[in-house]
Amino acid sequence: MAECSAMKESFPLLLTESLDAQTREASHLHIENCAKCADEWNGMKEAWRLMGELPELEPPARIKQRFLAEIGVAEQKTNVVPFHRRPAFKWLSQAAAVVILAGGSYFVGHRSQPIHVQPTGVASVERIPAAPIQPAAFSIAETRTIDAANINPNIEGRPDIQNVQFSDVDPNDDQIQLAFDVTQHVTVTGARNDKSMVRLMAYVMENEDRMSPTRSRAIDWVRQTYTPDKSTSPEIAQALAKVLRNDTHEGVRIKAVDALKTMPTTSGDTREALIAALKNDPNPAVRIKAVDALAKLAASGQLDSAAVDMLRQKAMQDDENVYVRTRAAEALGKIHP
Amino acid sequence: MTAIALFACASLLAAPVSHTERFVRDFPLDAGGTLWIEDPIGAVDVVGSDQDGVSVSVVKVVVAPEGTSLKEGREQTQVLMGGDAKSRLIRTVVNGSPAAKWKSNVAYVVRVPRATTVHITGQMGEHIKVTNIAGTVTAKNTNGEITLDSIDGPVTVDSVNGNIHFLTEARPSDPVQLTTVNGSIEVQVNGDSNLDWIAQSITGDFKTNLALRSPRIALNTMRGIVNGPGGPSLVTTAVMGDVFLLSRGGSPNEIRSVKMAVVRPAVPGPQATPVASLGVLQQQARVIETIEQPLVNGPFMYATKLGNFRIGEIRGLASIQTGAGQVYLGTVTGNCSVRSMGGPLELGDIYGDLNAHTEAGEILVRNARKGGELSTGGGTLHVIYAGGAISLHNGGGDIIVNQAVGAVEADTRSGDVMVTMDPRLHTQHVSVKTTKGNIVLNIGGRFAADIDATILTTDEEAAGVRSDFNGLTIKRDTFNGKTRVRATGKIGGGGEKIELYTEDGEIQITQQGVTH
Repeated sequence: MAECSAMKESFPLLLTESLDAQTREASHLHIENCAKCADEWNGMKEAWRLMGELPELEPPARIKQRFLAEIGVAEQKTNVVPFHRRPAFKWLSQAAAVVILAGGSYFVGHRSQPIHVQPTGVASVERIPAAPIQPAAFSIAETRTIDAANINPNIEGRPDIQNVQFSDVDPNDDQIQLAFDVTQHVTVTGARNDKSMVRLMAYVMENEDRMSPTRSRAIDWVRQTYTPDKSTSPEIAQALAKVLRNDTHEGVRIKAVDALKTMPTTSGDTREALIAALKNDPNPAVRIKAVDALAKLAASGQLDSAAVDMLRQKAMQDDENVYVRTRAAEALGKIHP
Repeated sequence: MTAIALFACASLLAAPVSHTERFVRDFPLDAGGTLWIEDPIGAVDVVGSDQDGVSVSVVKVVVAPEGTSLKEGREQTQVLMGGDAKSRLIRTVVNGSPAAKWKSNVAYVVRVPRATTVHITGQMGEHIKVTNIAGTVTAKNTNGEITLDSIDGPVTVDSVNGNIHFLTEARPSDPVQLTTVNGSIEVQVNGDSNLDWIAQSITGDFKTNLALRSPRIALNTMRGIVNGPGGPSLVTTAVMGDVFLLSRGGSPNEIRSVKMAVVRPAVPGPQATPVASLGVLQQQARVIETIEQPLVNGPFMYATKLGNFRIGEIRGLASIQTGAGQVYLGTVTGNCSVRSMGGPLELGDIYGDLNAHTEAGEILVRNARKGGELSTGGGTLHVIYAGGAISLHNGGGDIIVNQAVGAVEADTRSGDVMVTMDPRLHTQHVSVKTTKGNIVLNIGGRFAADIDATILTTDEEAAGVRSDFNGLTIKRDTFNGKTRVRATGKIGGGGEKIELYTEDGEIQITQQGVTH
């Protein structure tokens, strides 16, 4: 019975595909085996579908103003042409309109938790999470500042975060700030190499809206913020390596390899990404920077045989750009007993 | 030799200790059998003889600062021998970490039957030398010279930084392939040898004192027939070094450059090229030439196959062409033309018309006073100030213009484009296209233009055009199966045309001074 209750509370997260894979699987298993929950789930799915078909209407200005006044937020005038929201936010705006009109909603409160920012020390969630229901108003207007040390470094699911901003209020201390919108504006403050902060930075670089300028900015910022520090977490370099391997945007890959080149720590994963970039990347600038990064490793005696073989292959490759070939040869020339 | 070097090294340390171990092992090996040697840390000498079986002489030296490390070094440096009468394997296994305090060296002298097939893999050993073998020989290393003397079988040699010597009194009858990245190659054969010679080098030359018939050079490769047709192939690749093909016992004074002969066949007289000594090449740490000048008081025109340029100021026009290299020019008071087949370009204050292109690499221009045309095959293209119309083409990478006074035309295959127009401008033509990326156009509050901004995307819910300016009408439809978002309209009452086009990206038209 308690399981059914927890299950019902997780339905909104299930609807928005915000649950992690394990919990999602457990939820579906439960629904398949519990007729009552299955009925409720089907009803909720239908309601959700119908809500999706509602036209995208602005609430009447009078009601909207009154609502904003009640929660203490003055409507800001803007001459920005409205953004067409991504699906999740389209649902959110529709749901929010319903909430305003109906005086509250069960769903919206739950959807305010797509990123599981959990207190440190909480054991990993094996059961269906019973997220507290928050009033809809707070999910729209509230701004929270969270200390990175107090959040769980494990980011579950793939929360859709937007309007990412980076700042370093006092460059003389180790603290940095990362602000973003989930369903509310959140600012996470913490030490550069705090595990949660590192994970968030890595998440932004790897998962930020694929074409958003934020990703380029994130890489630039990471480069400025982390590279002077010899104790930079290897996870940052790994995230950059992942971007280098997977991003289809050539400008972003150039930035990623450029940042990687200046990273003080180089794991095997990073080396492999550099080797793969040198071998396969269609952009010559990426290959040049990958050669330079490997040359730096060669000079510090960190080259493994795979990297040497790839540099040798590149130096020999007839159809490769001559500059890449000569840089590869120069890198090999730095190998000494 | 190695032991001496190690001892010399060790003498610099406080109270160094060393241990030298010598032993000989004999094994049966059939005629026509195979010998494999892997030795990452020492010299290898293999000599063919008429005697049966294999005889292996081993010298193992370990040097350390103290006894405990020495013991560890001795334990972690192992010589393994195995195989049977058809195939023998000799291996040096070193398990030390890079931080280990000890150093070791294992040198082999191996006698084998002449008909043996020999495969040697070295790494940092001081040399590999194979003499008097009639079977196939392959040798590979990273550093150290490789010498093959009197080898009658097929040969494949591959080195990273080592010179290669292939010497024989006979006329080769089997294919020979010699490859080194940073070393040079010397081949000495019987003067009557017929060979199909293919030589490759980016920075080096091909030199010979043999009769070479109709040599042809294309890019970095030369092909020619030595003496007469019908001979085996000789492929010599020295990426950054020279290639010598010499007649054994021939005159050094007759050595000539094939490149020079092909490029300038009419040059009279002997093209004598000094060689350190026959059979020995100087180790050449060849790097790309750098033309470095703080000031050129007049026009500067230079073309090179490979070269870096670093010039502080040119008082006149600049015309530079390089096959590959970095180009840095501080100030150019005249027109500036730079063509590079690869390598980054960094240009400072350019007074005249600017025209710069690189096949690969970044372009940074600090001040293009009259504007110009810039293009790269791939890399970030960044202009800090453009005083005139500027045209920017990028094969892949971002384009950034910090301040443009003139018209801007920019396109990139994949990358973001960020253009900031001079805040004092009232209107100016801008055309930006990216096939994959975002566009940010930053203009002053008084800027007037006719806007036509289009996004074509596979994402049905793609973000639209964001603008700080009123007056745009946004339409969304389907075009060729994709979602098309188009914003058109006049800002500031209308003016020059602004055309922005992206696929799979966003467009932002922002107003200077407005924070977001």
